[in-house]
Amino acid sequence: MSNDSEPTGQVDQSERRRFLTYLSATGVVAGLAGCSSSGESTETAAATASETAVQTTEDPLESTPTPTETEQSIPEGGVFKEATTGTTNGLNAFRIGDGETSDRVEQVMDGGFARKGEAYEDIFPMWFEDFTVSDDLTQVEVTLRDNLQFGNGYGQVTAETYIWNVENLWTADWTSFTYSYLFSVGKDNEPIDFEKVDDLTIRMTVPEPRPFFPYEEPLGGMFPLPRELAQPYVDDQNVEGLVKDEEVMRSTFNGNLGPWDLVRWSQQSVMEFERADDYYLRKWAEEDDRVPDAYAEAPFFDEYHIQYFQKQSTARQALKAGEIDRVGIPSNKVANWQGREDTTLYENPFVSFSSYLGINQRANGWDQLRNKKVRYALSHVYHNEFVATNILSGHAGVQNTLHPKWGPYYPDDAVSFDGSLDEARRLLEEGTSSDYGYSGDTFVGPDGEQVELTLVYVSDETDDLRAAYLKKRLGKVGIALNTTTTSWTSMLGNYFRTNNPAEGVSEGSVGYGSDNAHPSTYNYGPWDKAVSAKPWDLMLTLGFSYGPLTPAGTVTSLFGERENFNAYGFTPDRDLVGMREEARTAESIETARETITEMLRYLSEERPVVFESNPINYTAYRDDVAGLPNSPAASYFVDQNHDVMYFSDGKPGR
Amino acid sequence: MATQRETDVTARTDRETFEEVDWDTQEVSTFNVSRTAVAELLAYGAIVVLFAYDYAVIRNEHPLIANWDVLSVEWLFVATLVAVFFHGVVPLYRNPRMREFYWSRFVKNRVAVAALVYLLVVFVIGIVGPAVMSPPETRFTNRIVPPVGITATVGGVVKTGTWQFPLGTTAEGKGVLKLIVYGMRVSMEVGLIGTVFTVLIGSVVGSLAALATALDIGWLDEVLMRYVDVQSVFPTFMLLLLLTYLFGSELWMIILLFGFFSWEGIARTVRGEALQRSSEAYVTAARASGASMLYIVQRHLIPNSANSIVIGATVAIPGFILGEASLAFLGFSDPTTFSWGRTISAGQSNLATAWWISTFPGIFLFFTVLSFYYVGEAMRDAMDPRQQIEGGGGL
Amino acid sequence: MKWYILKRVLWTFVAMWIALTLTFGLISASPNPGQMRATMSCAAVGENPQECREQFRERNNLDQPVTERYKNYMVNMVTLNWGWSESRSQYVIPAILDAWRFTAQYAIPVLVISTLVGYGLGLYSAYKPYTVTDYTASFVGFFGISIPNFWFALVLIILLGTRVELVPTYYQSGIPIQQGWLSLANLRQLILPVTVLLTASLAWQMRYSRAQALEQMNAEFVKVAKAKGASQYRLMIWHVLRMAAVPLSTSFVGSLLAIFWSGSVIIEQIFAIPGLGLMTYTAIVEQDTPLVLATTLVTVFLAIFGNLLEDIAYVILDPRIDYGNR
Repeated sequence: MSNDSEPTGQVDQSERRRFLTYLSATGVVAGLAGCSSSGESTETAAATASETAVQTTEDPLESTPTPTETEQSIPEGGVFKEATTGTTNGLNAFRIGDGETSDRVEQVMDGGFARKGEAYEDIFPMWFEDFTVSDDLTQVEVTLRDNLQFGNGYGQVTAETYIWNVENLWTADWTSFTYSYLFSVGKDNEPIDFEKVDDLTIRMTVPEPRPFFPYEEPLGGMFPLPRELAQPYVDDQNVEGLVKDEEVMRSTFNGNLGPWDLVRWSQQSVMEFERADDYYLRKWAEEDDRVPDAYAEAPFFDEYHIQYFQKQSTARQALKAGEIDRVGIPSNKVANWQGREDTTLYENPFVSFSSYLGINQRANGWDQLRNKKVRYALSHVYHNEFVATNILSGHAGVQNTLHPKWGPYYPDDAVSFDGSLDEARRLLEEGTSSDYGYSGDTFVGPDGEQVELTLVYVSDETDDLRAAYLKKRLGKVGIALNTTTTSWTSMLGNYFRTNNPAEGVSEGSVGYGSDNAHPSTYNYGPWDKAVSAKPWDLMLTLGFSYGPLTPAGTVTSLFGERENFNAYGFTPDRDLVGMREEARTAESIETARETITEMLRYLSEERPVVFESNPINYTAYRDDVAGLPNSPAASYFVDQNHDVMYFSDGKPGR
Repeated sequence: MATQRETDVTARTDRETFEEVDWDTQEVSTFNVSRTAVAELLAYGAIVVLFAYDYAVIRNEHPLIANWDVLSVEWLFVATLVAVFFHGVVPLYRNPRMREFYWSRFVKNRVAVAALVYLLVVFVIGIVGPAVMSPPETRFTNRIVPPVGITATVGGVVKTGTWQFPLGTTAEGKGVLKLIVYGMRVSMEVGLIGTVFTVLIGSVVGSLAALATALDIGWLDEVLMRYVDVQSVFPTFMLLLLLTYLFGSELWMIILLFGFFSWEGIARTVRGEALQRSSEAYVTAARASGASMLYIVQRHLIPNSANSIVIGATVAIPGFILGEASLAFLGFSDPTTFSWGRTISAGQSNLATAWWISTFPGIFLFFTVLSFYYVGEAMRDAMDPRQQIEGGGGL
Repeated sequence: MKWYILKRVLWTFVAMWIALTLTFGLISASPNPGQMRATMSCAAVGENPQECREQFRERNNLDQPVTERYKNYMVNMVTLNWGWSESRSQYVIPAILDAWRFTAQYAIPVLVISTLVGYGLGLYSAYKPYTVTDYTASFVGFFGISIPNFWFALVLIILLGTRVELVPTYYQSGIPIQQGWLSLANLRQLILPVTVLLTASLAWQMRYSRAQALEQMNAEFVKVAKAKGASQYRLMIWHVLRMAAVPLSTSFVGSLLAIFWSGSVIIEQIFAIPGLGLMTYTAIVEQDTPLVLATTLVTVFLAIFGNLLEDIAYVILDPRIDYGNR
């Protein structure tokens, strides 16, 4: 639930390298967000849609207007404090289920590489010195740097370390590792072949050419555990013991693998890091041209603190008072932070999150919602451009499909609606069965009474406004709207989860087909058999986050008939799964692009939900923080990396 | 806890003297039961019939009475008002002597009189206001407008308030003044309904326990009062959080939870008072003359606890109003109701730039709660015959 | 008297047992989020959820008969094996041990100040009722109770924290650990939380002690003492305070716990103090069952134990009490 009655802005300092599709609440987009995201964190671990993970982002190169002068000119020192409203499960390298935890683990361990652009080789090399994709798109070869050391005497990170982790931890059944699905590809889950080429080189091979495999290869985003540390747990197959191990949970075995070391973690309060003395990348700043010079000394702060706040508003007060150096600003507060002298506002329009108005097309929703024209009418009524301009004060990008306009696959001919109420009335009359119609200004059903719909959402400032807008507009086309507010957990459990039999369906036959298959509890069976515990028609708050480079997986898992997240009960008349596979096994990305764009165009035409917008994120900094990228961000791959930031006078202004 | 009751009894019997027997309260029990009771029952019956009619026949198709579509909480509120009328106003009306006596003592506290006037105004506006005023509406064109005559920079734009929204608007473009008026009704509902439930359960349990003791069913008394002990130490606020989180935070739900988990004080008082009376001469006399125990409890014990109940109730009301506001602040509130707590909590994120959103309802909340405490205090002074009232009140 | 105390101690144990049993019943009856999560992960990776459910039940001994589970549960509870908190990635007992200090550091000062000052003011205004002093004290007291503490806290942060920068706007948990709990910096950041919480609890103590003292002032034995020429000072301290302390102590634990629970959740949220209130709130919102259970039980135990102490204090303080029928 959102207990702060305002949308939570997010800091989003390092867009995660790993883009997993996950459910999220609007306004809590990047998982940095108060208890909505915490409710989500328990769920996402499980609810992560398979096959939509992608490696992307982050370009410390571009992101840093790196002081081209000498490094000596960068003042060092100070404690950089960042406010967050997201909770975390610590620094558990083995149990990363949410963005917040992932962000934090990345402070102490770099991971393989960060993506700088769409091209395969366009990377910022970190642990991986080399990343080579074979011409036939079946093999990826990575070479580790030769100075990667675990701490606590666990020795060097080698190809063997990775292979051992793959075999014993990441793909083992007993560990129920969150990302185990990344280690196989295709419809039939064919395992990827890992082989050790030499001490530092690993080759990954997939059975057939896959143009997206280089984005989706698993190793770049993984954090291997030292073998000696994990071996006893492997012997006992003791997963509980492994994830509760102090060293694993706090990633204290990180050695020289990251820019920071964890010094103190006080639950629900603060996580304090100090600058790592022996950061491996310093050496490469001199030897490797692709690593900026600034890394010879980075990070420049002595300490980095992530301070937890329960209330966003208090965090902003702390920034004003100079007690915090960085905080996320929700879109409706942006204007208050523009033009201030003691703070700087950074804008990032590239946020990979789609918010939309969900439509229940299952048996316990209004049956007319299964008609496309009715959904068109709703798209007129809930006009995405109005929402973006007036409710989100223009701090959002309108989208007409499940993809941002700045994304590489946005169809030029996406269907859009102009918000005409006359059109909506006409579509309603045409789209519904003949026993519906207008009686005066009221839209009445077969029983002669006004049609009444139920909206469910989690209350916060912007979602209350969205709900009020929807109610007002529906009222104008003669439909009444009941609003139900609930908590995030309860929304997932009682409304989004569909593991209940519909009226007249027996408990045992809810699943798909003769084998009674249940893809997931969110899609427990066909639309006419499996329904949510409580009835609903429309849903706000819940949106989706995804990797913009590989949207096909998200599209399919949300709207494919038998896919994990199709709680909406949408039944596409095109084979989305087939199209996804077609794209994935295409000869090249260019050929795949057409298919993916076609999928997105199809969604825009079908409107399984009323597509709304993707947010623009804002982050406020104290004005003495230097080394920020230029605002607004130049591309999706730009990152607000505090590793290369510094206080202009060498210490915080407090 | 357990022993407090005994002391109350012993301590009081110790000092019971002729001049301290509260003759006035004895008269509470002398009102005409039959006619008022019938009228009261009829009133409840009418409410139930109307509710059933609204629920089953009209089914929210159109408002029940003119423009007023009665909501679930409001049904409870109407019933509450009926209860207050029959058990508060009617007895006072029928006993001019008692009325004058209490009033003469009450007016000595001038602040309390002012507080009472304020509460009556809030009550009347809360009842009448929403009936003549359209509900606050979300307006995208009027988001965050300062109060009349005040100029403020909101979201980078300099705005000056006008008479259209005398107290400014919220981030949703709702008029703060309207929200305050609607909030008056909600606050009265929260305070009064919750308290009526508290009083009802508390006095039934308390007198039941006392009756059990008088009838020598000691174990029943023990069970009831042990439960009261447990409830009094249970972290009720946490339970409320848990329950509202699990089952939703609709207003009627919150009110009922308040009512169901806060009656232990009243139960104790009623039991104590009832036990005390039961050993007094007039009860012994009634018993000797062959009156049944039930008659005695109904006729003497409960009515004689009225003072303590009233005092307990006046403390409960502001507690509930503040409790609702706290829950709203924590995010447990129903966005379709316009409670002060919700407005304050919605405005807190704008407190630094748009102070009026939280501050005006905050002031009203503050004065309402303050007034209830003052009135409660003055009522206690007026109704407790052991207290001597000296001098005039006021600051 | 000894018998009475013994009986009370026994009742304490019975009450704890009842509390434990009730919570066991609640847990058994409510859905298990762990089980839901386990089946979800299975569904996500394409395994049969039914099988995973069975496995989970087996791993967590949910397939055993109720009596067996009840026995295990009781053993775990008694041996302080209270489970693992997901929301904090910590065992429950260390979680509580971590959190309680952060609550105690402001709760104890509030308790002490509100008791001393509150009783002092309450007695004083009872001693001189219906005077300007009494009215001023009344107003201060009612003011404290009436002002919504969350609003007050936010206003104080904006005025004293941001505008004037007199006090920190939020609580830094590193300070007590690095500089000590009694360090100046720690005390400084506790000023606002203590002030806000004090307004309410001080007022309660004051109003309550005034009311109790007023009752006692009219009691026979005080009148007798007065008649016998006892000095006013002695009268207040020895007779009135002692007698007023009796009923005061009974409501003490209950009302203070109530204020703290509602107060600390709000205070800790606003000032970002990682204490028991924030912990419990998060546990509820994140459905961290073992932690919700533990915090509930801890409070109930505290309350039961507090009650026991009260009752014992009672028989010692009040010579007139009759424990014959207990």
